Amino acid sequence: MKKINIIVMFLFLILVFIGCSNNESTKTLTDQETISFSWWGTTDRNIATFKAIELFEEMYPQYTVIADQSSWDGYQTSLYNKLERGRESDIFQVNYNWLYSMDGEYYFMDLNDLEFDFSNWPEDEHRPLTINEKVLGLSLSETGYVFYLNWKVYEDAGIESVPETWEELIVAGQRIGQQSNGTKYALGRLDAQQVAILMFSWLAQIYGKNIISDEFKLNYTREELAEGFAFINTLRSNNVLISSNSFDTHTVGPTNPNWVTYQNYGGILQWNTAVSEYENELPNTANLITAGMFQQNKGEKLGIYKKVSMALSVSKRVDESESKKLAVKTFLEFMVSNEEAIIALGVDRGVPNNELAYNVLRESTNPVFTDTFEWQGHRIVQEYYNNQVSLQQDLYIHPYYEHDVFRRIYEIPIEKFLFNTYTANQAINDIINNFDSTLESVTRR
Amino acid sequence: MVGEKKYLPYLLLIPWLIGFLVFKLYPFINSFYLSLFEKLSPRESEFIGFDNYRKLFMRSDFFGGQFINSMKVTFNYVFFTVPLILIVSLLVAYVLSKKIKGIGFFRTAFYVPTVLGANVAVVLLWRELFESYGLINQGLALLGMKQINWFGSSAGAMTSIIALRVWQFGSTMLIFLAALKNISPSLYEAAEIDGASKIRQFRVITIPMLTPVILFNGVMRLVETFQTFTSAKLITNGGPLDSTRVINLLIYQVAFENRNFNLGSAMSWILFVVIMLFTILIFRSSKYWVYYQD
Amino acid sequence: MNSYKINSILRRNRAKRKIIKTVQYILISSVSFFMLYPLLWLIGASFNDGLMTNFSFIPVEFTIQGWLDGFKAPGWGSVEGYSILRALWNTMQYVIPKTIITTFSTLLVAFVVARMHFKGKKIVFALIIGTLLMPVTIFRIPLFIFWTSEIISPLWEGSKLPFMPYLPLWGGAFFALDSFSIFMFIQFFRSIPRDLDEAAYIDGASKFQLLHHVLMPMILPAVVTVALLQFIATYNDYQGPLIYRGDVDTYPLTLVLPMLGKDSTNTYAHVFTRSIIAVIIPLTFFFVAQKFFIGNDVESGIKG
Repeated sequence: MKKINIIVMFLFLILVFIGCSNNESTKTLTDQETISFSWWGTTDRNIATFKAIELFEEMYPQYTVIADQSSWDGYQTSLYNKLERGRESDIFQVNYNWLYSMDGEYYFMDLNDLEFDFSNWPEDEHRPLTINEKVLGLSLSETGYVFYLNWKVYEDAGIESVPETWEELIVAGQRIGQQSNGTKYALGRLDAQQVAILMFSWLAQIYGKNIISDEFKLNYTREELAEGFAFINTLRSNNVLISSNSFDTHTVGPTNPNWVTYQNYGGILQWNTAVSEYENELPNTANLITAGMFQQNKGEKLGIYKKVSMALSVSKRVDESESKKLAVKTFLEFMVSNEEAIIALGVDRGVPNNELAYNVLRESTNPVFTDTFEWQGHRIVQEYYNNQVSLQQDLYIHPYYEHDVFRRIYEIPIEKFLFNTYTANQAINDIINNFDSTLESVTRR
Repeated sequence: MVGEKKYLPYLLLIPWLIGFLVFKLYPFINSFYLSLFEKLSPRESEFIGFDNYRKLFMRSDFFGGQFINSMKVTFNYVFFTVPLILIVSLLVAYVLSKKIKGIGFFRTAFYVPTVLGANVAVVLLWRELFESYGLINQGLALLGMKQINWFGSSAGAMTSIIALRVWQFGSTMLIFLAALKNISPSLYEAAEIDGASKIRQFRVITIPMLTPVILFNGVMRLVETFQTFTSAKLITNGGPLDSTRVINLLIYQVAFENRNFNLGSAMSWILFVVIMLFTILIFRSSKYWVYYQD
Repeated sequence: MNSYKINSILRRNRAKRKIIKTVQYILISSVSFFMLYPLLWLIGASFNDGLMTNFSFIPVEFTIQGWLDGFKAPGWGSVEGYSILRALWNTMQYVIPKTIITTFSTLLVAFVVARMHFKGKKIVFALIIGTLLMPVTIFRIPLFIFWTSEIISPLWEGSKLPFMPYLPLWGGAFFALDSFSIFMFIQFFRSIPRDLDEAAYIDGASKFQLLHHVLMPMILPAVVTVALLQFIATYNDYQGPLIYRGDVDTYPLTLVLPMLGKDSTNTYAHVFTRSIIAVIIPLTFFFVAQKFFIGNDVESGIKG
């Protein structure tokens, strides 16, 4: 009997000891802390990010980072899911417009509360990420839609210089079409999202207006839209774009056999941050070049829309613990200012506008970043955008332009138009009828 | 009876009762409740009565247009698929019931697609089959026919999805097969003596005797195909141009991708009412065409 | 009519019947050939490097790379990539509990309804039949809110234990929710005469012993059928795991397979190999279950 008593007492003491050692209240600021970080990406980005995390944990051994990486597919739904139940990671990667569509003001922490230093960034960079004076995301890079061409297709058709204007592009299209008996195209297949940007870029070059006005209304008239659609039709009848999207139903651009295997398509229109997927699929015989944005007249620098591509947001839950705040702040600062981390992360999430990071990447000799397609695209986006600003044009992508529900208002009619089940007129009617009212309902104005 | 405790049945049924109340009755009512609200912000919902329902029936409203389109698409799918399944499985079952050699093999062969058909791997395979370079087009080429761009047109895309479901007719066929076995051969013998042709026998004996099973199979397939999801999402993802955006897919997108539980619930309720209406209609009509032996 | 004429008529009829039979046989054979051909093609494609662009299932560019690599990375979900076996294990963590628990809970309810007398039996039976045809879509949203509510979600979300992260997918099994299975069992019980029960009671058996020793062996085909159907349905469930998605390392097969498309790290051989791995399990279960019954149960359950 006595022996059992002693054993029980002993076990009880052990339990008490274990219980006590988990006591949180005696933590100090340099204590162990765990941060969870989730992002989406493909293999390249994942390897890079894991490397950066490794470097961080080496430098700050008291911090552990739990990485939650997944593919793009389902990330947004999953994140929204978790936000609603308070199960999101401490830090998570977001798209710029999610701050608005996912109730960022409610769920995300104000980075000013971390006393984060934003001075290395251009003044306006974080303004779109600020709602009611709360900075809800840390900008990783800016991005803009840029044309990239597979020069082999042009070369094979005997075109000597890269087209700079739309006219030259159309002429190239005719040439390419003739040489290939209609099987090859100067660009190829663009989906509704890309055609929308193409059309609005073209219109912006002429009228200097953004798509959505400051009053949250459609900024273009019926006649102006009609011109835009007519322009798309011109592209479609001159072998620049395929004449109907029903002829090619591959919705995933990078693996489309017409881009990769047969090299029938001569170009793509993509965010400069997303070009690597297309680049990686091309065979060695291809020759990818950066073509920028075609212009109305030679020498102009117009028609570039840009936006913050990705940001890192912090969960509001972090605000409750001082030690966690410090850990998160240290991690964020590390990711954007530590030289080794910057080089490890490279330009996979785009080219940062943070001056320090930018310089590190620019001066890096191994590897070299300045000749990557992301870099070249970035240069053009920044240069042209600044030019537009000097001409009083604000072509920043509106926070609701890419809202999941709202975007269908313009994408669906354009898609039907591309499939030739809608005339331009019908598409314009749909857009004009639904644009303002739907925008109003999603922004609850 | 033997001296059994009287409360035993009730005790054993408690799990079922909990199941019914918590997992069926409560969601049923809650779903309707949700549909009467609209979310203003993460913590606030506003009671809006039947506004959600009103929205869904207005073609001019963006969501209404989508909903009406999805209902049309789903009707299309159901009213092609269910008759096709019934006809094919009945005919195949009839042939198999006539003492064919190797019946075991055929039964298994026809049932295997049912086992596999709903599997994600097979659904993805199905998409590959209908691609422009896929197996189906290869087959057409072999027969000297024109290749079809299946996913480029709404009819083609819908065909591929219908084909996948009809491919899985095996389970329905097995039910018909068993029912056919139950038809007493003396009926056929009598008809034979009277000089009736095989076709007439089929029409006058087989079909009427099978009507209860046709009813059963028909209703089960109807309810099931109205809620089709996996094939529409993985093969065409609602495209092209929403021509395969069946209602369950739309509900999923509205409720779980756009996080609009209220509108999603309203859609689910309308779907429920529609399915129930058709079920009741079919059962009511059954007294005119279903022949019960007893 | 003389016997010669009768004989020739009979002979002609027999010949006609033979022809019809042959035609039917050919028809059925070709239909089954076309139905199974995609699967045959799938096997061939898993041995083919690159896209299979011909009708024949024989690989043009033979490779076993797909099979060698099929079980390993490049896989999914992390830098190194998890193997497909992990996804398979994830799937089993909810398929197995659901199948087993559902089979037994529905069996029990059916036994009570079919073999016991109590007040309210008619209502219970009516409710079971009534919920048989209820479209499940209407339950999804509220059930999702239920499983992710603040009280319930800590039970399973983010859990590192086996089986628990998938609780929403199998938790309901305890409550005999599948009316179709209950219905099938009831029909089976009804086909067994009550005299057996009486005999057992006279021998002094309790209800439990009756069920376990006497009735079980007789309804075994039904048990196997219900288990098989539950297994297949849960194994193939796509919307469920889609809605209750957890951390990446808990993704089951149905979520992983769409991610494993052709990309820069996979060849088509890999893709198709993994597809075959994914379907082997239900197929095996099916063929094993076949030995237990010769296809009579599903249909006889519908009798009457």
